[in-house]
Amino acid sequence: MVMSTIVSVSQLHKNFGSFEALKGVNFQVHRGDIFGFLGPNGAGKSTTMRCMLGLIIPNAGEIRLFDKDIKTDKVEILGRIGNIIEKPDFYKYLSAETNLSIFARMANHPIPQKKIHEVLDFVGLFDRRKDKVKGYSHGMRQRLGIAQTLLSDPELIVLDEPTTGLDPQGIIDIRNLITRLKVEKGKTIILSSHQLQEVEMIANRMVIINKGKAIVEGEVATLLNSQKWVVRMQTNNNERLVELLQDHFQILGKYDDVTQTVQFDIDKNQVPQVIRSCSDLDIDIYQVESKKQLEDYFIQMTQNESL
Amino acid sequence: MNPFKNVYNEWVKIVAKPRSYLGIGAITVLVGVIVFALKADGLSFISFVTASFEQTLTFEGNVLNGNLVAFIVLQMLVIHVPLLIALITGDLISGESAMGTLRLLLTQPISRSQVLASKYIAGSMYTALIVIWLGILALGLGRGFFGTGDLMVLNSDGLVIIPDYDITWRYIGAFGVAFLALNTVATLSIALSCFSDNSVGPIVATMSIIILFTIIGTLDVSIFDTIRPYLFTTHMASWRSFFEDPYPAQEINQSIWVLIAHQVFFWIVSFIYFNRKDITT
Repeated sequence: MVMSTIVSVSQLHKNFGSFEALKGVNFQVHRGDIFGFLGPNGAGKSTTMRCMLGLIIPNAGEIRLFDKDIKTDKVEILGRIGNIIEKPDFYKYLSAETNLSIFARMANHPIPQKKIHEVLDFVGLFDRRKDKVKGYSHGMRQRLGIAQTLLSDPELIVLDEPTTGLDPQGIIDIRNLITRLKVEKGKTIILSSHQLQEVEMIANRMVIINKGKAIVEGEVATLLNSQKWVVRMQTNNNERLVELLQDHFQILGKYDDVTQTVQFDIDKNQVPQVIRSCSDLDIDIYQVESKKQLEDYFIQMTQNESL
Repeated sequence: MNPFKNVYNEWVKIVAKPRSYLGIGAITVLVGVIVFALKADGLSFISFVTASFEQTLTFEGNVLNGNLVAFIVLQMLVIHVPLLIALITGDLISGESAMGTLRLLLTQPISRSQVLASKYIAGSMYTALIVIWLGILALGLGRGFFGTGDLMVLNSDGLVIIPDYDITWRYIGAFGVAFLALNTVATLSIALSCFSDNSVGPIVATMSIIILFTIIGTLDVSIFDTIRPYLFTTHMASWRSFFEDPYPAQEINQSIWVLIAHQVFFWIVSFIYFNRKDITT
């Protein structure tokens, strides 16, 4: 199936004084993607997102959304995007409904009151619509932020750290909302998050940005499977296990005092062999974690880049 | 997008802010205090002013009338109203920046120029509201409590007496120029607001500029003679010229042009800067 590209960022550069925040970022987002946008703090994620939304003017490079250039067609492009950058800040002295009315009046097509009620209902805030935002919890403000992004029925939704500061239930609520946006409304979503597990659970494609550069981009599943798995094993004789790995598999195992586990990188199909060898050598295995996780992959990629 | 919709948005925000009523409340209290004081002991105040003329002139009729009270009120308050204006207009951009709403505002399908223009228009509407309220209170309370009569004004050239029938148009003109002067302050504070990410900075900066320019304007030092006519603060009291006889049309026109030129300058600077500003906060 040919995927249509709705976001194309190429050779994006941005300097703040002498600090080079972006050093040639490239990536593409396809229609229908939930696109994970990952990177350590200060990697350039927010700067890239702000450039995409016209909040920051890049020094060089090109950003095309819906096959239009953000420099020349900003107003038209923004009419097709909903966003939450960092945290959704609203006019605290106004009610949720009045806040949304303000943004509805700024849309490039008429948005009826019914639509405002509909999006408030979608995020579960309809009954609290008359309350001033200053009385809202952080989670409610995040949900109101998502309601605001849906007002003009955008094709693309950009969410920058939408779960920051939320309690576990709030995180689950927002995660469910994002999944519903994709499943029920068919939206394309760009999601930046520090919650790597969350991105792993809901994103189908991703880019990892580090030190102002995109270091890897592609399908989440493919990227994870293309790399060696990180295995953690806890046994009754961890020293022996380290020796076994070294002698039979030529793998360097690292013992972690805190978790009392041996960690090593290995090809997926070698994991059963290690387990069999342990059994042959009477090494009792208490625990094996052999799933390749995004967190491991993320650390591996960003650390490689730092070396 | 209909540009008036965004002006309406800005007006909704101004109206919903409690601080917007601070200016209206302060003017109401101040005018009330002045009217009360003049009602209680206004004749002493008048005789103090007219004492130097009493050997050569005789004053008959209702000297302490509503027209004089309105003039006194205007004279006392127009100096202080800029602070009340700057309190609102200096917050229009920087307040959004501090609150974080500027990010959301500038990612809507509307150009930055339109956002800024809407704020300028809403700021001018608020300034007009303050001036109209000041006018209603000064003339309304003045005429209500003291009746009407000829207006006696003490200028640097001497005493000017303006007949009652010749006053209304002068007040309309005076309030018009007062609006223009206060709108220059509003424009300055909105322009400064574009450069700041907190509300206090532009308000303090606006008042500092007014104080600095006023000091330069009043210092009798020849080095400032060339720039004095071009400072907007020099023309902030030009509304008084409407109460001179003969009416100095050329002088007033010059003041109007200087004030408009300042506003245009502040607009241009802020539009250029705001359109290039990186929103990083």
